[in-house]
Amino acid sequence: MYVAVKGGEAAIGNAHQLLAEDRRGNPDVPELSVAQIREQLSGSVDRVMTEGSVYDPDLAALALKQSRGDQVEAIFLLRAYRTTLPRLAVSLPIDTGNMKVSRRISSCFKDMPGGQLLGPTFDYAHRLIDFALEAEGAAPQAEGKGALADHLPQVVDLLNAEGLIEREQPDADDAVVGDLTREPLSFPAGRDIRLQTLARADEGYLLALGYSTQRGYARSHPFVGEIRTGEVAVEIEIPELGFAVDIGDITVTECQMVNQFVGSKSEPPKFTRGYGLAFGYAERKAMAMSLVDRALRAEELGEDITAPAQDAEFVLYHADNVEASGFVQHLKLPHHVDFQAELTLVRTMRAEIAAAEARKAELAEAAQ
Amino acid sequence: MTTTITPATGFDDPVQQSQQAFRALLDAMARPGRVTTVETEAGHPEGLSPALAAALLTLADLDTPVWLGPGFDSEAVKTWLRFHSGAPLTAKAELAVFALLDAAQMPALESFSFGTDESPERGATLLIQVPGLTGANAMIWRGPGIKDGIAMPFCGLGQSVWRQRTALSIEFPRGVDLYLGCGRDLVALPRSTAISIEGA
Amino acid sequence: MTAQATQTDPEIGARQRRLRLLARADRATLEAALAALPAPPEWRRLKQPETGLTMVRARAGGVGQRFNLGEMTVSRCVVALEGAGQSMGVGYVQGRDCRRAELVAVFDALSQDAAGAERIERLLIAPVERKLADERRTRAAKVAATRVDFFTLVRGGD
Repeated sequence: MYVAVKGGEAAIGNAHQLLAEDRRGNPDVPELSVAQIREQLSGSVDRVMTEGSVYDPDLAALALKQSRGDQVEAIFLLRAYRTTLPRLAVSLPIDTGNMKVSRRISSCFKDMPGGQLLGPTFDYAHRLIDFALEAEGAAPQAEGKGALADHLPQVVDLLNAEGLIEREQPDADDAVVGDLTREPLSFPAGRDIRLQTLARADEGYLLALGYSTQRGYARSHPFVGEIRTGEVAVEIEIPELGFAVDIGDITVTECQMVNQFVGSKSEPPKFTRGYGLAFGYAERKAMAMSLVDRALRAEELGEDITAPAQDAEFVLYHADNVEASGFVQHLKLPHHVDFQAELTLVRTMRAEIAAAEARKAELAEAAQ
Repeated sequence: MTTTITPATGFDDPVQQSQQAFRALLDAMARPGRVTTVETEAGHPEGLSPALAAALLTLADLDTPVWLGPGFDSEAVKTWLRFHSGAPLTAKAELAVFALLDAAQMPALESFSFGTDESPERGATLLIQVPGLTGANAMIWRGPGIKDGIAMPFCGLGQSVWRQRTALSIEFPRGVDLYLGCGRDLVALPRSTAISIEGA
Repeated sequence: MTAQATQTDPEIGARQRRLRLLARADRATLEAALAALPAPPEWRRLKQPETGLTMVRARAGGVGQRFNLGEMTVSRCVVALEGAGQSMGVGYVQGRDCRRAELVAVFDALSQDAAGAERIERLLIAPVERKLADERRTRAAKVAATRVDFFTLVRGGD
């Protein structure tokens, strides 16, 4: 039961002031600009955009500044902001095959057409703290050499001549695409809703679930078919014109996971697929998402559901960090009345037990 | 070069005007049978009542498929509605959240969604242009928002439409909600209103 | 890159190209081009500049079932030029800069007759296209420099 509380306005006002002062930190240190956050903390910005589910680097950077770098708080700010905006359009499906890639690798196919492009990766860094970054220096310049093809096909499809890897089939043009921002989650959830939920899901949660599938909780034997990061164009139908127009580029990271599948009564052994896609440079997120997407296809593929990552209700209902943080954190709000009621209940129960004990003792005495 | 058809105008100030029109639509729905004037000026294609035009500009958007009935399925109306609201125009009446209809060319009410027992809010809202909102009283409306009962004329809608609407009562809470519009005035008939036709 | 919705109508194709490039021009470039016009255009707004959201769709596996990935901010404006013709122009741009959307709409409207299209092409569209191509080439070269050949070493054996 909820009981309203009143009061504390002055204290709350002062708490906000204190928070603002602490957020700014030592005023002798220069203040961060939103542009600095956008340009130099892009990993954080990308995560806030993906889980906040709004692609707008400036807005995400501002949210991070306001939340003093607390990402879940920044994600919450972005989610709240988006509810104030009207929806003007729905894009045509982005074409990741036409991505202007900054990175593209495959762990399945060594010699893929177009080559393996490492791009700006941490993978081969030694993870030693670079104390040189303590000093401000000239902006580093990367070496350029060679050129890239305009179109880099998805290698999983390209190198699947034998058809041993399942092919993704497009849905009918007039099929309804589920949208969590319009209809609450319900079950059974189609792959459209699952992928949307996973794209917005907390990265740490997906990472843990994905990891669990590798450790034996839902055996899936994954291989990275391809990971690519880069810019894709967003096209929308313009209602005023009656045709589609490309309105700009967004950066996304895509992971095509290929998983072994032993076959079932109706299907011969083959490789199946899991898919991950996120805004920005978000490789860990996209990879974890693809593992969980594959695990959630257990029912469709006739596999036994034995592990947490295969349980759609469990996975999807607990994936959203704004919901989760709201429900966990609401516990710190005043529950004075609830707790008083519980205290009374416990006292009554103890009194009843004591009375019963006393009666039992009396009866035993009388019987002697 | 391509000649672009410039659509009829809509609201000059969409934020303020849609709020004003929404208020009028709410008031009308809260008081079934009472004639409400939509004061705010909305541009509209020729032949469409300004009240219903304002209702469409206020209610329809990207998420609400609209079905245009006979008489309103012209290029002028389509261009105007698409331009100002971005609402998808559907060819299937059963998918429509809103429908724009002419009293003289009414399809069967059961062509539209009544919603489900679980989600009755998915029932369609029908915007019906009528020749008038006055005339000889022929029925009594009763229900929430009406003190005792209110005598109403047929408003130019055929008897068969009223009979279909009367028969819908047993489907409640499923059903359709109606706005009858003429000029700048409109009357709302929510599904919660019960109708008894005199002499029926 | 080409629009997915293939257009056979060359006029629509030309307008799609123009709007794609205008949407990628920064505000300073658009303002400078406006100031450089011999006669400053006058226009009225058919649709007030407005910021909203576009839901970005994607496909499972890149080519399969559609799903909603997340939204992006977008701003739009529709204008009509004053005077003869009263051409309509439409501007949709990524982000929250309504002024950019309005300027894109104005340049779109100015390009609705052959002479205007010619002028705007020279003044704005062609330079933006060149700049974008240069940036892309530079970036692609830096990415291409990270191309790697992995050698498979023979495992075990005798």
